[in-house]
Amino acid sequence: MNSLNIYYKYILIEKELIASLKQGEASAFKVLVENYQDRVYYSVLNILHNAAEAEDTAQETFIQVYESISGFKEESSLATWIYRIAIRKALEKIRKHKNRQRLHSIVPWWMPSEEKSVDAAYLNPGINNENKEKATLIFKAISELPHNQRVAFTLIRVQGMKHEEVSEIMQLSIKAVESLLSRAKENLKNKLKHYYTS
Amino acid sequence: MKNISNEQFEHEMNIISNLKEVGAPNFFYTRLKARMEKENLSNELASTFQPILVICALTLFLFMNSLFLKNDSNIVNTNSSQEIEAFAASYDQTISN
Repeated sequence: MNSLNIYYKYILIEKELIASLKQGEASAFKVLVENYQDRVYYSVLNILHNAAEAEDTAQETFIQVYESISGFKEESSLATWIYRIAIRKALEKIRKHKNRQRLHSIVPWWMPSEEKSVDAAYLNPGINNENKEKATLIFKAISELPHNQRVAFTLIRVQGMKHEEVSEIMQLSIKAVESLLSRAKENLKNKLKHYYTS
Repeated sequence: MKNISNEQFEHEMNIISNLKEVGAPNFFYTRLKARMEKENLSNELASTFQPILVICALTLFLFMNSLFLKNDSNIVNTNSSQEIEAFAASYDQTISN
């Protein structure tokens, strides 16, 4: 790590980092990516359930950040703004994938099938061996939830974010987030009852 | 079928809660930078060549158009004199008085 990076990482406060980014400083962008790449990648990985798609989406997130930082009004924290972009990009990916699947079912000779690329027996790398089977089942059930419920549940239950943070990222009230979480739980219970009661 | 109790559900969800965070793949920034440079280059190329392509397409369109118009006017001239003659012949008359 060079001295300039250390300078940016430890001396500059967020506002100064934003100002440097707005001026198009490459080293500030590098610091931003290094600071947020793990969290952004992990968030989109938990939503997309596919490592390659998650990396692609994380890259798209940072490209979007780089291109639109001049329009960032600082009404929320930089982290919240970046997360918001990341989640939106991840949801766009899911929608595109679903559209492609739909098109594939109509004109299979035109659209190649991508069914194996997303959600196929996803296993979070942090899961230990003894829970693998159950975890795969739970993640499959989560991937079948409606988009908003999936995002709220993943950010709160899998990533351990606070309700307030998630409400800012999703631009919803805390009550709305709680409602999404509660509906997600009910849906998951229904989806998983076949497994747990058999 | 029996529903899952809240306690059982919460217990099962602990499997996927508080997991060790997985970091971005190695060389993430390097790959991101390469992608940005590639996209910049393709954007630059597109913005450089787009006006040239548009002008070429427009010139080709105008040229083809003028070619068709020229051919069309020849056909119309030939056809019109032939048609008049045929019309006159059908009434057993000549074109000139």
